Amino acid sequence: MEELVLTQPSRAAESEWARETERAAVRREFEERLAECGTLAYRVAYGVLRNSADAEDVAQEALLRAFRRFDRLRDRNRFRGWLVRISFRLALDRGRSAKRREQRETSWAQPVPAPTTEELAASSEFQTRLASAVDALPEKMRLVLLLSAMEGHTLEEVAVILGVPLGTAKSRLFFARKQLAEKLPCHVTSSKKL
Amino acid sequence: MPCDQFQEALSDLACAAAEPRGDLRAHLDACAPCRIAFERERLLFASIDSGVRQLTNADVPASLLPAIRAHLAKPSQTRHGSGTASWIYAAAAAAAALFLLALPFFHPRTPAVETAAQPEIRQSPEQKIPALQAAATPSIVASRSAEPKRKLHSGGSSQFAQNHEPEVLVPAEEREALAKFVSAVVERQNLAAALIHPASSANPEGLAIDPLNIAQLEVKSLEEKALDGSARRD
Repeated sequence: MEELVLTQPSRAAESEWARETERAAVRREFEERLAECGTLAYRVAYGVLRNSADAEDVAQEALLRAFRRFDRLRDRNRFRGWLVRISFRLALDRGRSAKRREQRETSWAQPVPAPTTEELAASSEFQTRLASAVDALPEKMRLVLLLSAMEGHTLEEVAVILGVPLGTAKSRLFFARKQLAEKLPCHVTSSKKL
Repeated sequence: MPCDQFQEALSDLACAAAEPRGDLRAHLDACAPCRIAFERERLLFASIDSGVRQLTNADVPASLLPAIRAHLAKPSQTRHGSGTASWIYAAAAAAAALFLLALPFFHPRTPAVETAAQPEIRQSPEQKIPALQAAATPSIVASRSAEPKRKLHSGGSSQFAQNHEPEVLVPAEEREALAKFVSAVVERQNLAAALIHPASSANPEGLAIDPLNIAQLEVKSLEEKALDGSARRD
């Protein structure tokens, strides 16, 4: 049997109208930030995933999630940092699940065919090594490294985005670069010899 | 001075992209192997920076922002408060279940409890009709007809009784739709007026309708028609 409820249409309409107005205002404010921050969300995701389609999916999801929770964000000036963290976290999750899926599939897969000459020419050994070295960095360091390389952000801006002191951002970047250098020394030595 | 002492400091300096000063500068000027090593370190970090920039500054697909805007433009019900709404429903369902479970402990099984548990059986036929109408059709049922049913809804009915706003009985899932409809009606005053005051048919003075003009017809009886037909055949 259908459940019936008593309601006061006029009051319900008033509150509905107020809610709609509020939603419209939130949406307007969010859209103002969208053009500015959509790129950032994509690039953070791309920095982690290095795949355009996956990064786009993650950026979309991050932006929609940010929109759904936008009214809960007390300090709207911290939107960029908040969005960066959402994108980064979603991208990490997606990267992990992709890795797991890849592991599952490779146990059944046929031997991979040898790359063509064009593929070999297009691939850069250093980029590949660098990418895997970046993946191996601790999350906090990785995020600072990506943000500092992105869109010409200064370290001060990175610190503001992440809501950490400048010194913390500096030390994270320093140790991130140091760790990368420890994993990639031979490449530069060999390229210099050439 | 042995070069080992400077190695770590020079590496840190290259990592921080800073210029050597003081003792370090003097050592580099004097020691060619350290200078070469330092240059290599700087080259390595420059390559890392350039590589990371390549990794991160990818071109943003043009479809990204339009896709987001399209998602935002979708009806708000799918996006807005979907999480909170589900929590509210879940909480309401849990509260109702708890209430139903706790009911037998507070009241021993008496006829009164049976009335609460099976309201339809105890209702008189006059009371049942509005409820059945409401269940059968999704339309709004007038509040007066729902008056006897209020006693069955223990939660919130006292609040409703206190104020004089009109109340209606609707299926639970249509409450929000009703609110939206009423809010739309409030915004469109003409529509509201049209709904409340339907056009009256008792005032035809204002209407001017031209009488139908029918051309002159030749009217014949059937017998004459039959005679005409036979004459043509002969």
